[in-house]
Amino acid sequence: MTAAGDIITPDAGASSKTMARRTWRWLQPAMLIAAGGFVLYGMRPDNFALRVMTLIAVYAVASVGMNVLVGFTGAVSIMNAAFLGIGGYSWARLADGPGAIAALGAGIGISLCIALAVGVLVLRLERFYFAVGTLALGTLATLTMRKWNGVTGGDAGMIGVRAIGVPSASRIESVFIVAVLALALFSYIQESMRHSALGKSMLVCRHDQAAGAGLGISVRASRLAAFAFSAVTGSIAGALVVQLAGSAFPEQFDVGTSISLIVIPIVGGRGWRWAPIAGAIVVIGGPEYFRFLAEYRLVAYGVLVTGLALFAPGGLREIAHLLVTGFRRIRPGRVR
Amino acid sequence: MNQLLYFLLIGIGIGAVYSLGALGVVTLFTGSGIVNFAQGDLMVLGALCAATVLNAGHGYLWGMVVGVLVTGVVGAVLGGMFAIPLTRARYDIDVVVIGTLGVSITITSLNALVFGDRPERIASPLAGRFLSIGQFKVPMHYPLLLAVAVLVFLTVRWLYRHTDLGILLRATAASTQTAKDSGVRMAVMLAASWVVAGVVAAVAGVMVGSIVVISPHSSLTLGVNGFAAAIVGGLASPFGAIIGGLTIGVAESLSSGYLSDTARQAIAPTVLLVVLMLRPQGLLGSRSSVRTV
Repeated sequence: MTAAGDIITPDAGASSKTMARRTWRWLQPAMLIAAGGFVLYGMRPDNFALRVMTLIAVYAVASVGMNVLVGFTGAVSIMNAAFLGIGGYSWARLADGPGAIAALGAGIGISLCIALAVGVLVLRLERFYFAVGTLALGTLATLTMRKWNGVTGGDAGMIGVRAIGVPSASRIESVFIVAVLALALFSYIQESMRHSALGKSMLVCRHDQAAGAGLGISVRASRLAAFAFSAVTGSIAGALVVQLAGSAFPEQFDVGTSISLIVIPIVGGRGWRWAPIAGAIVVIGGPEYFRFLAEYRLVAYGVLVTGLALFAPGGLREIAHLLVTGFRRIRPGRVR
Repeated sequence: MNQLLYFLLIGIGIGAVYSLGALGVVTLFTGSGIVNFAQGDLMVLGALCAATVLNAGHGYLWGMVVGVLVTGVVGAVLGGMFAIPLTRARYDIDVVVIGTLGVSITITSLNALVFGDRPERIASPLAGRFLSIGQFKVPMHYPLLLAVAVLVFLTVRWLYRHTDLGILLRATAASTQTAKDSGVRMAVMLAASWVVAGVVAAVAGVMVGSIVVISPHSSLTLGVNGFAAAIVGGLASPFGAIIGGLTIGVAESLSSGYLSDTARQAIAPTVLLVVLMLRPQGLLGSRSSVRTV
């Protein structure tokens, strides 16, 4: 039995057989992702394809946190690129001297502190107020990155960022391997969290706060946990972003990136266990392969986001479901 | 002393534009419960349309009229689209709000495609005239901004108080369910709210185009400033939006005059956050209007 399994309290009396079955189910996405990454790597893709796949994996890591935040608790945050920025700049500054562990740890630590502070101050607000507040925080974060020359290098950014070294692998290959492993790990955490007391309290609070409060669940605490989790995945993804690019610039972490991060789980089908990777393939991978469309791909992206939000709020999951059931069981307004 | 008065006048002029931006956010929020992240883009759309008309050699008023018409039509189309999910039995308002983010991306990139990335400036009808305060000269456009903002505010107020449409909109704002049960057509109300938001945005965009350069990517700053002004007023109060806009405009003007441009850029988001933390219902709102968890 796993450590994550031990935390689960709702049915402590469940037989070891049940627990084994659940652990198996939770492990599925992680194993599939790791195996998929291994197969893709074994196919020796060209540099461009590998770069795109790495980008997808990196943003999917951040999106796991967003998926928990928006899919489980229903909170819409437009500032998570700031956590990517914290992770990225921490890596860029510290990876060379104090080392990889310190750089990653510093990024996660700072992100967690900021997420908890922001959470306590702003997360108590309902829906839009929280969304607008995080938009303001994201704007302030971009401004800080652009103007704090001593730490971030300002608009000129930081170049020559060291990447983590996997033996006998190039820069992109190393980042790809690490990103896939991180994605597998967080997919496992996402799945086990859904079935834990914490995850269930998040889901209850998204659908019916009054019922959650009646059950003695602290809405604030469960939201705060989800927000902190999204900060952790964000800062790890940020460290991977700067390693892949070899540089850190404020543009990598602006409000547009925050919007992409919130859009990914929505496109995938929020709360779905495959939402981060499905959404990242469309939102991050799509534009890379449609470069010849230039500005038009942004138009298409915007139309896609609006169309999905208005007509298929369940995202790709809902569309796939409709295709499978042959449009027979369309239930308007079904929210999943 | 004269310098302070100068910065105050400039700030009030800029603040009037933010008030108009906020007014658009507020009318849409009260009318449909949607927080519109595309408000800044509607402003830019109106301004760029007007700039194109002006560059073609037509008058300022024509520019304004075309800007208002285009954004009005865009608003009507968007209103029709956003009405569809809201007429369903169950809908998720969070996802609908993300839809406005998509609208924002679409309009920004369409603006860049149609009008180009070149920043535009709209020549003011009062260009070259100044209001002298000692050695300082305030362009006459700033008082004009305030006058136009007051005019738009009074028009919207008249619309809401003295027309059937406005009364229906207020009924919808007070309680969507009750209004629905009384036979108010939600789709029409939603489209009307979006049109009002679009028209107000166009006027604001055209007016602000004479004091700052407008490019498709100005929309984020304009949008955040509009939000900040709306939040200061409590997100649901048109009068609060005016107060909020003027407050932020003056604060920005003073900080750019006495501190630095970085400080000016930080003013709107900082004010927004402080108000959200201390008084989420806004400076004028009543405590019951915001639920916290």
